[in-house]
Amino acid sequence: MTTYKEIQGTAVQSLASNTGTIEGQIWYDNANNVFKLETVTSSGAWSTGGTLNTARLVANGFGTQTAAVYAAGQNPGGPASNATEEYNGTSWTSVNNYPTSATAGGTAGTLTAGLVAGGGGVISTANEYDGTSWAGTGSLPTAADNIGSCGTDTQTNVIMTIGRTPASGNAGTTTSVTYNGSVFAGGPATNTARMFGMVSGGTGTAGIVYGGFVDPSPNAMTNTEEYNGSSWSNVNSLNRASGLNTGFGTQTNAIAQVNTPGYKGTEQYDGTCWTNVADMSQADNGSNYSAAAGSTGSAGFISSRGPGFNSTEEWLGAGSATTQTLTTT
Amino acid sequence: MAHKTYQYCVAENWGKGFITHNDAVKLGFRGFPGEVWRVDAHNQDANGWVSRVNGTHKTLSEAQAIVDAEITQAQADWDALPAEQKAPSVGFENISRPEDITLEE
Repeated sequence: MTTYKEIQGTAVQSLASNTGTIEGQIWYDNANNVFKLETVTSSGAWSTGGTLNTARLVANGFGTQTAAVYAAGQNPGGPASNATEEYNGTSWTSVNNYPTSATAGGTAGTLTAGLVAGGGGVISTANEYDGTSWAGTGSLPTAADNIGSCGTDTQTNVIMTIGRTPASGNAGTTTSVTYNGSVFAGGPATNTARMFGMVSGGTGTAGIVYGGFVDPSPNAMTNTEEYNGSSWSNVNSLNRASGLNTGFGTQTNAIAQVNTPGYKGTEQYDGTCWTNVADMSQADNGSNYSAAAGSTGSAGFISSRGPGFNSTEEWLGAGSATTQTLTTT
Repeated sequence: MAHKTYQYCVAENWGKGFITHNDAVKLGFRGFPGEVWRVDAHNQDANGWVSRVNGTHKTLSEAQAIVDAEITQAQADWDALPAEQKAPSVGFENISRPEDITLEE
């Protein structure tokens, strides 16, 4: 009988983790006593992730799929929360609370160099996170919440789009602000005012903002704009309008979870067009106020999902490295 | 006899690994209140997933009853909220009243 070594030229290694393995390699996971295969995903899909310890909506998420922070938010149907949790790609751990309650603020950066600014209701203060503690930094020029953020993986090259201020109410704004790591300053106006549910991605020199919701009607919008470091430009729109978007990614690889009641569709942006991709597994019951994190449109997560506002779904895009457990049937 | 498109089960979503990327590529999942999950009927991969997650098979009417009970409770909880938490306001996000869900055969 032909052996694996005769075919591959190497024996199956017994390893504690996939560190050092390569695409196409079969290895024995001696921690879990199963054979595994290193492979590449053929298509993008959502899978379940860890469950939040504290159910919240409209929290403030930043970081990557395997090193993220989920700060503050609002208890479902109840008071504001300043609970904060870190995600390691598998489970959530409670860490130092955010200094104040804040919902739907602006976010940027990584687990060890993160930023949350503003939020409901309605404040101008901002705080940086170093992986352990929160520390105050410069304040937004105006108190605001429902903020979109172009600050993927960066705490010092950020532009945020302001959704709501006490003066604007739910009509939305075209205001943007930049952050350089210490000071917020006024930025160029977007072409379209938007308020609730807008999503942003990218950086302060290559950003994207899309979707959102304003009063009065027609409310939900598909409009997408890109930022080049000096101005905003309209580009191709989302396929489906929603005021309850959530998403993550960059200007050339972004994911939008286009959520309307009972709908769970997802669209992916490649820098030119939005394309419908795989649905999420849980359609929320009538409303969704999730938050997300992810450094690219190839790997991220959205949490506060499901009826309990505590489920997480992880996105892994096509062509991503993944480990499969081999089974026999 | 009508051909079933979906099968239903009740299974606890334990988080990571409950629905894997590979599961999601092969199957269309939909979760409902009450830990009710819908997957394709007459599908070996779907049957295997239900078994792997220790799901308890439910008929359409049984699954609908579980979802209805959860929605009824959620609606009652929403109805009991103070008025200011139901009306739109700056600085507070309002959860809309949960809507009824009708499961498909």
